[in-house]
Amino acid sequence: MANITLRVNGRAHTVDVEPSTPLLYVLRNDLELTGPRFGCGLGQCGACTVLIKGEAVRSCIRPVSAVVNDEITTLEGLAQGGTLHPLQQAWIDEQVPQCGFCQNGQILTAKALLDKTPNPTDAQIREGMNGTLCRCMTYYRIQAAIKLAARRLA
Amino acid sequence: MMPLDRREFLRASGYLIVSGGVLSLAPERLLAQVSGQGPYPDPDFLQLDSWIVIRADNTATFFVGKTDLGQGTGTAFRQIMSDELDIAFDKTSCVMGSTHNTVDQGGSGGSDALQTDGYPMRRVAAEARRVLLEMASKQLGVPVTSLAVSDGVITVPEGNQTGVGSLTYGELIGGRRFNVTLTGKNTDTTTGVAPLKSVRDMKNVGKSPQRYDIPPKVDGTNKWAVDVRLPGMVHARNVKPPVAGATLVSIDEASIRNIPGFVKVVSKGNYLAVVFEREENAIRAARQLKVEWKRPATAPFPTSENLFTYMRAATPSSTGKPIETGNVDAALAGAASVVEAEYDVPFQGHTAFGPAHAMADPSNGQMTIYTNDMKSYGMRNGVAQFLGMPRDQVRVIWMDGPQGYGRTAADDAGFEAAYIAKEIGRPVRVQWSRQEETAWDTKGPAYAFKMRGGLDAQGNVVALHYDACAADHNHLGYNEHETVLISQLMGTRKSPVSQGRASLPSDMYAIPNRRQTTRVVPLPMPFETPLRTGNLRDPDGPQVQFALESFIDELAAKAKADPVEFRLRMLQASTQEDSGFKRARSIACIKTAAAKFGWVPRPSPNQPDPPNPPDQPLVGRGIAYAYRSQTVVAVICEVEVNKATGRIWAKRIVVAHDCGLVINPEALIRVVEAGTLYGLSRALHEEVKFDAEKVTSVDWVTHPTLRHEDTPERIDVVIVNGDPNPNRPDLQHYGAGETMVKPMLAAVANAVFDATGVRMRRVPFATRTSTLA
Repeated sequence: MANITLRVNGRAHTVDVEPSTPLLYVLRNDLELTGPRFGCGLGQCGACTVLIKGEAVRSCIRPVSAVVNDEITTLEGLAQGGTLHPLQQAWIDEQVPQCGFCQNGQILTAKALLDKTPNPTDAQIREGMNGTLCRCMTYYRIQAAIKLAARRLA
Repeated sequence: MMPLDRREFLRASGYLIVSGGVLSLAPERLLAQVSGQGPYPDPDFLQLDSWIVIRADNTATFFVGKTDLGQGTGTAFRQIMSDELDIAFDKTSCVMGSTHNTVDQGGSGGSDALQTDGYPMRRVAAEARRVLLEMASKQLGVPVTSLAVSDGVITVPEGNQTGVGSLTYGELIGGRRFNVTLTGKNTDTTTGVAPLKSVRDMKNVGKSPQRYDIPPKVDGTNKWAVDVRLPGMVHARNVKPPVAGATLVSIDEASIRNIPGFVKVVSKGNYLAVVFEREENAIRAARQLKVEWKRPATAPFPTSENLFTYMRAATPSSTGKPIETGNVDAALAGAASVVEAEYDVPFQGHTAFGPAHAMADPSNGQMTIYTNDMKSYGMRNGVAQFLGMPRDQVRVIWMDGPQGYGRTAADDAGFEAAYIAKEIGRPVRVQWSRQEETAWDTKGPAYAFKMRGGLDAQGNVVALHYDACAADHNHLGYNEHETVLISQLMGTRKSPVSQGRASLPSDMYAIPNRRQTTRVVPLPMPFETPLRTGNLRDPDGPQVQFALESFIDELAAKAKADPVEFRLRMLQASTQEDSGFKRARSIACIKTAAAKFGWVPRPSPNQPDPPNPPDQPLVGRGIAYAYRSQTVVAVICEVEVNKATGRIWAKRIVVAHDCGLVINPEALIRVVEAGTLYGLSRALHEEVKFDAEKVTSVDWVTHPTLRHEDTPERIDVVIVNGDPNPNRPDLQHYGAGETMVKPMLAAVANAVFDATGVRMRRVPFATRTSTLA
């Protein structure tokens, strides 16, 4: 065990855990940030996605020791000053979720995509989102919401 | 009328799962509310107060015994109940599916939320309105017939000679009990004496208020069953047998004692779990624990490669009574042409996006389970029996979870958490791993079909023989204490097993000579097997309808007939049973889908003139249709097939959907879109693979699923009202959760045939498109 300080959603937190502990379990169990969720533990599905330095990162396979100096954003930290991020608002306006369990990963992966590619083509959306799975199959509305958010952000 | 202490009421009703609406409470407060001492008797479904609470501020909460798996049923319940009660939609909230505070409506299943359970909900809300009007009548001294009510305010209309004034529902009853007794043999038949409203008098029905569960799922504030954390809790992980049917010989507990926070190794029979203070250490220990297992003497099942050969040769464990109309053999002998085909559908898993999970709290000698179990009442009953506890000492609190769709009707993790919690006397969270879930979840049964059909000289279908063989021996019940996996692993053998079935297709085709034969075959090992069959989003409709609607397409191609026209001919040919109802709605859906698609009649396969340039994908379209209970769906799929790569892309999908009275059109459209793509995923990608001793589909690499790249360019969902009397005041509301999955596999296969001339007779297609290249 070791004291590790993490910067999450603009706040510093010190936790006493094994350095090899995947970030996901520290976020969920120690910091009670439950936006990221366990889906596979293998980095295959995207449920556990967080943003680190603008990149969509799979927190289930990222040890906490590897992110000590990084600013980490979870779904809870996406809204600014009480206003939802345009992607979140588009998700609500398009009524994207069914069960909703995957949508943390969908929204944060879309955030990383739009940050790099503000006006993505359909092909860029499909490619950029392809590793983020949804088993209710809300892909059609997710893609519509990304386009809606991109238009509003433009 | 007895005053109801608000705190007492809040404690009794839990309020854990009120999300959205006027009762949105902070999550931490919600969790604090559920620390009741127990026991937890069922709310009395014959008391109006068990269903509806009205507060002094003129808001209402509806308590219903259903669970919302993400299709927006909670919002629909608020719409129909607020309409019958005559209160504004946004002044209502809905509490769902927890055994101690909502009446037992069975949770979810069979897409019956609106079709069956919506009616008692409407009736009790109508009864509350009637009672409130009578109360107002007495207080205002005006006959009920002279009162008007809107948005929870009862008024004496201007100019009324008998009196003046108005009263809100809140003023009449806020914070107090109705104390009105209802009648009915069970929750489904529960009723007061008030009549239901006519469809034309419903203000919220047919509109699309935003689903209240969506914003918290998007902004990160939703609390899911996976999020429950309790003081003193520990984390458990299962250790599954490495091969099916293995016997646990010995456990080397010392092999994990170096891991911090060890609590216990729990084992009984072949059930084995490790318990640790921290989650990551439980995960590590489950991998590190040294266990000696003994392989079974004989192979538990054939390999997935040999499955259909095995099934066709196996001795049935049960045989359905043959159904025959006319004389099929004679009609086939006299047919101008005979077509035969075999179709195979493998085991397909639920492979829920989030693996099984639950938290169990043994405090106060009771057992509280926090779960996404879609049938929370069944879990309560099952766990009580499993642990030998009185039923009212077990409470199941339903919370949101990933992708239920049947898996959580036979939910293992809740039983496991409860068992371990009772063993160690602390709250326990059980979380299955991805590999465990994909390998060991419940499976939709594999089917092998043989179809024979005969055409006369004019291309009419004169005979059809449908023969289905299902690997559905020992089909799991709903949260049965004898059949959940932990119980099987501990040695329980339910006898006789819950025999599954081989189902019949759902169509209204008039075919003069028709025979349907069915049988169920067992795999060698019926217990402790990862090939357990259970209900999967429409338990066997997608398999069965794949065979029927593919074969109808083969017959149409043989007859050189247009596939839409061919189907309509069989639907319009007869006026026999149900001619005015389901047949009419079948015709309406097929015609609507064809019109929306812009279907141009011609036979399949597509023979473009001039021929397709070699560097361009082949394009085809296919139709299929099905019904489930009273809901009818026709799907048309347009595919592009890349000859070089074999890739199939469903570029465009049109769905014509008739589920009677639609409560929330926008929510329905999204359910249909997503369900259709789920059918597409099963058509293209999904198969449970196994060698002769274990499932080898264990994650998202070895078990592919539909992805963003597979998404159609366009999906059109057309809501159809094909009722022969579409404006009738009692237009029924039917289910919508599953029907669209059924025709999708055949629609894709028929489109691939249209594009390529190659018939897909084995699901999934994406793995066998080398045949197209």
